[in-house]
Amino acid sequence: MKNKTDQIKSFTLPDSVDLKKISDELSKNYSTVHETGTKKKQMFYDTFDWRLYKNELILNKEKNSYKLYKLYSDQMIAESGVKPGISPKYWWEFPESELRNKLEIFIDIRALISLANVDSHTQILSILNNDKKTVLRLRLFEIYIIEKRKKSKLNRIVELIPVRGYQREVSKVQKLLKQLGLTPSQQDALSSILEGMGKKPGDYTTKLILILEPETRSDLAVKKILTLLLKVIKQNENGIKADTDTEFLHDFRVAIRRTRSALTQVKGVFPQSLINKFKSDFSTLGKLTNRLRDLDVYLLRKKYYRQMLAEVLSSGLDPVFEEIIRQRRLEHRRFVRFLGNVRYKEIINSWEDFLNSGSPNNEEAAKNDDKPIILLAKKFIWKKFNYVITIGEKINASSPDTDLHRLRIECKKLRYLLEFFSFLFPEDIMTMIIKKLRKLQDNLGDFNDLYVQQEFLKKFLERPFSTGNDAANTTAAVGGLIAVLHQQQKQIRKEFDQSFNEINNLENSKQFKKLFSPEKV
Amino acid sequence: MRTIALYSIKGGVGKTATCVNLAYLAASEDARTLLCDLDPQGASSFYFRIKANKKFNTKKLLKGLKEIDKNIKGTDYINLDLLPSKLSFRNMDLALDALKHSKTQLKTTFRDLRDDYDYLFLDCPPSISLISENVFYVSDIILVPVIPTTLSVRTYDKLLKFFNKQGLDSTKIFAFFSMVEKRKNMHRDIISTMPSKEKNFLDSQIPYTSDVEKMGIYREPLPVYQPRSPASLSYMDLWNEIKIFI
Repeated sequence: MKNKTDQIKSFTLPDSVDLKKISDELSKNYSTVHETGTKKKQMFYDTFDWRLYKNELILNKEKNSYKLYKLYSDQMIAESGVKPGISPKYWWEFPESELRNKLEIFIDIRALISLANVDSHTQILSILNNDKKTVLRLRLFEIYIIEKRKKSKLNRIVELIPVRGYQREVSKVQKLLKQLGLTPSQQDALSSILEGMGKKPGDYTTKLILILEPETRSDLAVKKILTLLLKVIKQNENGIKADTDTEFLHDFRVAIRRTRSALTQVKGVFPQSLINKFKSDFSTLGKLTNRLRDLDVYLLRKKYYRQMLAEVLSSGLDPVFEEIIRQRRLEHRRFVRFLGNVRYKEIINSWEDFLNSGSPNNEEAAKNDDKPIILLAKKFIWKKFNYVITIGEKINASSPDTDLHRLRIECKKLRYLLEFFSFLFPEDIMTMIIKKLRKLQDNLGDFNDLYVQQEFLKKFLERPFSTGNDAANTTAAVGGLIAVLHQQQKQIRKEFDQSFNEINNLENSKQFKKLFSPEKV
Repeated sequence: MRTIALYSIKGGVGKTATCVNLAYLAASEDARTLLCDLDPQGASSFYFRIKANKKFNTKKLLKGLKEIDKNIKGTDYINLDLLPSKLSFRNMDLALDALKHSKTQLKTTFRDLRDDYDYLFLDCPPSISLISENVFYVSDIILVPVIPTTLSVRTYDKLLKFFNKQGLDSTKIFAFFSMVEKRKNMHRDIISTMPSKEKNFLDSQIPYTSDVEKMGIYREPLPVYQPRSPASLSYMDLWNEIKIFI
């Protein structure tokens, strides 16, 4: 049960002070032991969306060993050696080890990206009491960042490493260091390194975090939301081009979908002519990513599909996946070319210009543009919620699949609205509402997904892949897979009522009414 | 968490030296280790150069995790912490006696440490008392150092009889020969005639060396200042042998 007081505390060391000066000052009350310095070359890694950092972890590589540490401490959680010259990108590329298990949990399907290449020279000063017991350690880091083959020096950092049970010494030494001119740094060493490189850990998020007054003009408020979404779109471009992992395209697409949803659902906020142009632009953009995303997803499912089939059949899937890989390569190239294209640039630039422009005050102005955003938010959410409940209540066991499909789309629209305007309402209640809606969406989504997969696979039955035995094996495997998916789909359909009741219950309805129903004038 | 007690009715048999060295070896294998010094003489605390907080006492120890947590100190060695002892622990028997579950209180006290440590080593006071009974309940293994002399072996026999009489699980007890001097005839005789399986004797033996005695001067575990000493290697053998049973 280590408490926060045992955490390592960082200080920046001004040029006028060195370890000897600190040691001399400390010698007045303690004896000190200076250990010989060590030099290290390390590379730090995390995913694009800082999954490790957000879980208070750091991954670094030194020589041929990867080590996972807890942030603000020297506590190593796991390590694994790798073959020389190998830099695993995904968790499954690591050798079987505790490190691999931990990475599977934290980074999932995202790739590791190298953040910083660092040369460090470390010196340790141990501080001893009268019994010659080490009661505290000071560690001086001189860090050099290696970027593009050039070495540049960073601030020198002094870390104060407490020894458990010697809290008094921590306070005393902290005071002394401050007196010597060292400034406490809130960051851990890695953050300091990254800051020195112009990067900020944890600065990527797909959450819509806004702080605006509820009375803000609707058009300005919506433009702010759309600006956040545009930021996400741009942030993911390079990752898509470099094909680092599948989630860049996924986040890119979600941001586009949300953009389109905002343009469609938050009515009367912008001039119609502009809305039409941008809706068309983003629709084109979205469509161009569909095929590539589909192929990505099927490749991600590969292991899962093989497990679903009896072993004798699963190798029959190999030609199918080879074909998917081939198609994916083409599709990726096609999309990357588009991203470099004038048309794409035009879409993004014109959109950005629009978002940065002021509100029109002529006949073009839309009827709701100056209304307080809180009014519009409530209106649209309330309306959509009631619509979802109405459609959902009409669904029973004999309803056609298309009814569920329609409900799925309306639920998605509701969820986007809730996410856009989350900032206007109490966080905990919104989180709960969205969570419940999510359960229904998962059910409807899985149902639809299974249908889509079956359709996709049927195409492989229609095409002749090869002749003779191979073709027969593939047909058998694909047929088997379709059968399993069909069974799963039937099961999911049975679970609909229970999922719908997550939002179609008295308590939830009360919440919605309380937050969103139009105020009585 | 595995609990290993170093126990002996007699003093001066190498109990504390063994406790300190085994705890160090465990920690050096990346296991989170806590050594709890229950002996009011505080020898293991001395070896680690650690003094307990002034306000620490028996009552607080028995209270459990919250109090213990405030008093655990880090040794100079990675993964190794110490809960130091106080002279006032000499009253621990009385304190235990006054409690409801006087025989199993330590088990309750140490239970909360489960998530924080992989190994708990207990350095026990030389006596046969309520503390000892508590130690017997809470431990997974009880290690008893025995000097290969007639008297020592006799004392060990008495210990086993006591265990059996109290209905305690004597399969937890493992003895090992400590402070062995191969030059001495008696030592050689006792060792060769001891039917090890019958009385739970381990194969590893710790030789008497001046190196170990110097622990009090160096105030470091033996493998730190003399890693290649025969005694160091024997402690390593002992630790490896014990690990099989826990």
